[in-house]
Amino acid sequence: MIVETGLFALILALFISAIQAVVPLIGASRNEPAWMNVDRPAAAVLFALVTLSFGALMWAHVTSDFSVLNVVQNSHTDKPLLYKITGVWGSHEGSMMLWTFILTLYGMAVAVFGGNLPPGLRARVLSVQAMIAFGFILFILLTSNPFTRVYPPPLNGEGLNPLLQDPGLAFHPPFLYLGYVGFSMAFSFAIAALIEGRVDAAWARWVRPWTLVAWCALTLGVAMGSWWSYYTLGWGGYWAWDPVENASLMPWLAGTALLHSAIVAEKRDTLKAWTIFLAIITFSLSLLGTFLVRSGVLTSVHSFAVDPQRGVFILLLLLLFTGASLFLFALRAPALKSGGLFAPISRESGLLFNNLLLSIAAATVLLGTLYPLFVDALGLGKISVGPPYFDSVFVPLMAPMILVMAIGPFLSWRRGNLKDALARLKLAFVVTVVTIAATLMIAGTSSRTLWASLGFGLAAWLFFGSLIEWTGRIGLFRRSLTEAVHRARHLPRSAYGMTIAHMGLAIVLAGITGSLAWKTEMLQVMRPGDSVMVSGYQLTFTGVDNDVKGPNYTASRATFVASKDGQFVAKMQPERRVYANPPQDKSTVAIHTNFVDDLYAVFGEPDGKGGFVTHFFLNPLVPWIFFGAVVMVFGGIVSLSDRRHRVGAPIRKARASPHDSSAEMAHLKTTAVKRMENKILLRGWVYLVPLLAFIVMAGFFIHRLQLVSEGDAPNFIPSAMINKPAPAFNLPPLLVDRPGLKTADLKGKVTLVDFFASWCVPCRQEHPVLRLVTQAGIRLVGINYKDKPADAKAWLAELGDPYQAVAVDAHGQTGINFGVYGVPESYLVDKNGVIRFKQTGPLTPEVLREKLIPMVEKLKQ
Amino acid sequence: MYWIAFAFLTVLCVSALLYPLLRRNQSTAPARAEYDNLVYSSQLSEIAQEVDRGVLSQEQADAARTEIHRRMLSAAAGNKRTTHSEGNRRARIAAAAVIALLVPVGSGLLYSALGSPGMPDQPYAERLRHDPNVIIASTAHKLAVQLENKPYAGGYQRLAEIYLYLNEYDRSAAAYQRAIDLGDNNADMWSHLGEAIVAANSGTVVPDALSAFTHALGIDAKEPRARYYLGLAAAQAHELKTAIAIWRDLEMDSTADAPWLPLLRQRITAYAKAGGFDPATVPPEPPLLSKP
Amino acid sequence: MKPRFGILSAAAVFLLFATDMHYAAFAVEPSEVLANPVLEARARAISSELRCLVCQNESIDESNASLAHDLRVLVRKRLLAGDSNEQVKEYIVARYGNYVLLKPPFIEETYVLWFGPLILLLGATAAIILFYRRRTGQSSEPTPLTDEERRSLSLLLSKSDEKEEAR
Repeated sequence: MIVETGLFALILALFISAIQAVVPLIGASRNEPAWMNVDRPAAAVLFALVTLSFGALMWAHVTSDFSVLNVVQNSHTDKPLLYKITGVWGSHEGSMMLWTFILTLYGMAVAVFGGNLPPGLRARVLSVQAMIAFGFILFILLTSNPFTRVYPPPLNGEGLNPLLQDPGLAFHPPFLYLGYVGFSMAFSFAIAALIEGRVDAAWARWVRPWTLVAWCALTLGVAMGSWWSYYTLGWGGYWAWDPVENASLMPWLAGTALLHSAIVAEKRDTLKAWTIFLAIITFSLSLLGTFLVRSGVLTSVHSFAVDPQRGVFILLLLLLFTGASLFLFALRAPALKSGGLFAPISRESGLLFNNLLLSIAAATVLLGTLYPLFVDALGLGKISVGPPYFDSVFVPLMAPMILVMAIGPFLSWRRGNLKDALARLKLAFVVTVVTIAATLMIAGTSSRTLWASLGFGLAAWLFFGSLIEWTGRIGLFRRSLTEAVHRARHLPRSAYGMTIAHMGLAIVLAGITGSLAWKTEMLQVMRPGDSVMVSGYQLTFTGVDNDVKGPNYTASRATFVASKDGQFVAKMQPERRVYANPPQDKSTVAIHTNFVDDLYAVFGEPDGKGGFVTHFFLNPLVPWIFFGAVVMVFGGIVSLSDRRHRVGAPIRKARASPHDSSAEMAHLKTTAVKRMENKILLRGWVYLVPLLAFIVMAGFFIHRLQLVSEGDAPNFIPSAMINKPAPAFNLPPLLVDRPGLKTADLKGKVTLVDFFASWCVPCRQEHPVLRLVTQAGIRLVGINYKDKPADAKAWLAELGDPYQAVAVDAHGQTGINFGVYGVPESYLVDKNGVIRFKQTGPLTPEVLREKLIPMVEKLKQ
Repeated sequence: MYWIAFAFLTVLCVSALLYPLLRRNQSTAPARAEYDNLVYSSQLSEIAQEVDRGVLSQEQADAARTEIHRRMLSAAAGNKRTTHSEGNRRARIAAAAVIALLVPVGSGLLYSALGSPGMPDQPYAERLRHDPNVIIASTAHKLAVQLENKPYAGGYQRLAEIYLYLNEYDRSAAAYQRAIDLGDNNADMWSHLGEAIVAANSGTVVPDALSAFTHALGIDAKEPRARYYLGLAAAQAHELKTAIAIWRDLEMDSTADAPWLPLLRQRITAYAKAGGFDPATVPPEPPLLSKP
Repeated sequence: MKPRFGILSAAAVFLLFATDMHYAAFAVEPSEVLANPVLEARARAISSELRCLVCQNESIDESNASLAHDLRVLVRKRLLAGDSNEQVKEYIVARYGNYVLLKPPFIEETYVLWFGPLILLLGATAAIILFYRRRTGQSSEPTPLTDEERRSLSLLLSKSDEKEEAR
């Protein structure tokens, strides 16, 4: 009953969202309150229905109702209750439910707090929100229904991936989605403003706090994800520029820019078109992230179970929302009037500079993430864009931004005084120089410490710059202490928010710098009783307990005693866990932190001779990264609590229009309007650029999705060896009575060199086709790749031996020289010993007929 | 019952939407400029506060005020006389009718396409009370966990039997294998293992099963289960005469009250008929063992 | 030093390659490590810039795939043979193509990638300069209200005061 009600509620929600999308919009355009007023009850009903539906799904998970497919696939009765609950969003279907739930939660927030919004604006905002909700509910119902039933229900479920059974990962999706989806608020406001063709004064006042909410949540979500990666995966790092990570970083960068441009829009009534553009882009990047993670167009270490059909649907949503909104933007933005003016040196300019760099950084991450896809689609080959690229491009963009971050707050609105600002930053400058010098003096002057010193310098600059700005505001050292305290108490919360958030970023920066510069790592085999030194810490392996029982796993737990200068520091107990359902391993890391350094221990496999592989890291300043992120979020929350964000609503009057237009007012109209009309700053076509860029990008996505759905794995790599001579090799034979193989043997006749192994499953599939190769009159030789000779002989005895010669490449060296990356692979070598064709994966009769034989015919001539 | 609840939910939701649409006395919101002015006056008071705090110089404050004043003027000027139209009441009623029709009908149709109407919840705790299979499965699970900690052959044999009962043939086979590994290396266990593998392969005597049966007969050449399945293996290889020979051999060795006799005889008759020969013409012969 | 193995979930992730991950903490095996710490450090740096071909977006330094192991050993062999870092990378690229380089080479196909951020930066700077240019002549300080405006304003403010009182 509950499960079916959940599904029905979701279906009902689909129709309610359709009505919420249409009726208030009609009302707003015809200015009919009766139609507009449907918005709030509709938003409330929509929220209630989605909550009901989400609750039903959660109920099914908590009660382990295995008549629900989603529960079967992601749960098991053994799972602790906490992970039964959080497992709801561990799957694709459940996470989309969470997404939609949060979306309607925000809609509800507009309905509840929206009393101070002009009804027309509110009606339009809620209508846009409902359009998004409609798209996503339809997506869930048609491609990812979490309420699909199973009959008869299986006796138990398949369990949840152990890596997801972790508090860090369990709670980070809700925050992440609160962030992603929270940007839908700014998006809806932006679209509403574009539809209306005007940006109200209340507009920015609304957009800013909600963007701030989303930003705080996203910052926390990203930090939690990074933290999870750091403490569960045992690789000692926290960020790897994986496409999925980038998908969360891009909206964060754009959202941060939006947060700052909204200040200018509110305070100075300018940069409005830009703010609207950022609002569209930020949410679009969130949608793009959802698309990239779930469609399989990019390879990532981690992604949802990939389904091109879902990919097509999300792409449609992306095209619809982003395409339509950029179109609307191109249409309406040129007409948005710009307000207050400002000088090149001013607070506004500082914020504009920050916006510029943040946007370019976001664009760069997008470019790097999607570039392999572009190059591939254009037929220019396959390339990889990995961490080294991002590191080398991202840093030069962020460094000047941080430099200006400390200066900006000193500049006043409209027209600032740079000299004055810099004069006030003198102390910060001194601290910066001292920091750089001290770093170099303590750590020496290698190129790495040089970079580290600059990183610390920047961090110090930002930290102390922000601090000095605050002391300046409250007049500390300039006025009496009581006066300063008084001022400090009455300083607006948003000012505190900024100072705290900026200082938080400085802490993060210091943490990243330290961890990159001085991470040390020790990898070795240890027996109980052994000890190693890891940058001053002595770690002694005291023993292993192989009998640790968890609620749904068993584990081996190692104990290491860490000491420094003979003093006991900590006992560290990393584990290697084996889960039963699903049967998977997971290693848990032991971390000892003193809030400056993290001592990090991972426990590995036994070596079979009484020893164990152990891996230790000393990660300097890593705790600061996460601490700094929390400080940033705290700053955001402080700013959010500012009373300024709360503007009351005008009193409703019974009937009459509040304004009696007098003759004077009518006269005023002409003069005032004339004044406000500024020159249009950019030509109309400029506003079309984002739309065009988006259309091009969408074209690539469509092409790519087509490839993915046709089964072309994005990982398929063309050979670099085509048209190059076969590498030199001389390999022994597999069978004593037969010859071995060397490069010279390949000459004189067109030959197919087939790499195979008995352990390779597709090789078995390929084997019958090899007979056809010899029947077609092609010389076939085999290279047995990284195999046990006995196994290989048994394999040939069982399946037959089609090869003219079989050679043994025991260590895969010849394979590497040929560019083999996964057997079976076969290379067609011409009479002169030049490689002409490579088949990756098993040969099929089609490949033989359509590619190989025609090519051999040609080569024979 | 289901449909009543759904109908109730639908009516509740739809009426919440229809209420504002059909209400007679629509309250009129203030003009847009009112909202703007509210923001502007709050901005003005913020400037005043900042001047008090000394963060803003008088000069800057004046400039800011001038700007805000001008925006106020502009807002007031741009503000047309708000004409909230009562609108066409008929159109509203029509819209309400569409909503009242579309939502229930649409939801009903979509639900009947996607849902499983009438299918009850099956919470695990409930099933654990009523569904014998779940009870047994949970017992098996507990036993499996126990055995994991304290393995012994008899336990695994029992576990294997339970799994077999639950039609979890793969697990059953694995448990039999464990029992054998732990010392129950007898013909009975091997033939049971073979049987579980056959069941897991939906009745086909696959090579793995064959080797298990061979093992069983290597220990006890008279083991009936293994002999039966080896006969079945022959039958599946279309060697019907061999099959009948093996089975007749088994039949001869069986006591009159052996539980498998009826099935065995039925098989012999059926397969002989399929082969078109008289079973009596085939001399009984034990299965030929290729490798022990 | 670069992050060695990256998983951060940007969404609730369903980790397809989870079984690899446990071992991934031990991609580099103790037996592979070179005795010479300088060479070993170079080997690690090179490995982290080479992509593991059979993996999903990992470097060979992060992967426990068998091919990654072979390539790590190969990298170390080449270093012991006296190759420079560049030579080692070239050796691998000759066999597997540019795809193995996590830092894409500077070739025609990657001009857009490498110049993209710079072009964006220049474009944006140009747009901003244009933005300020078009505004020159307009003072950022607002002109004081005219008398006419003042009158209208007082009218407006008095109106809202009335309303305040009405509250």
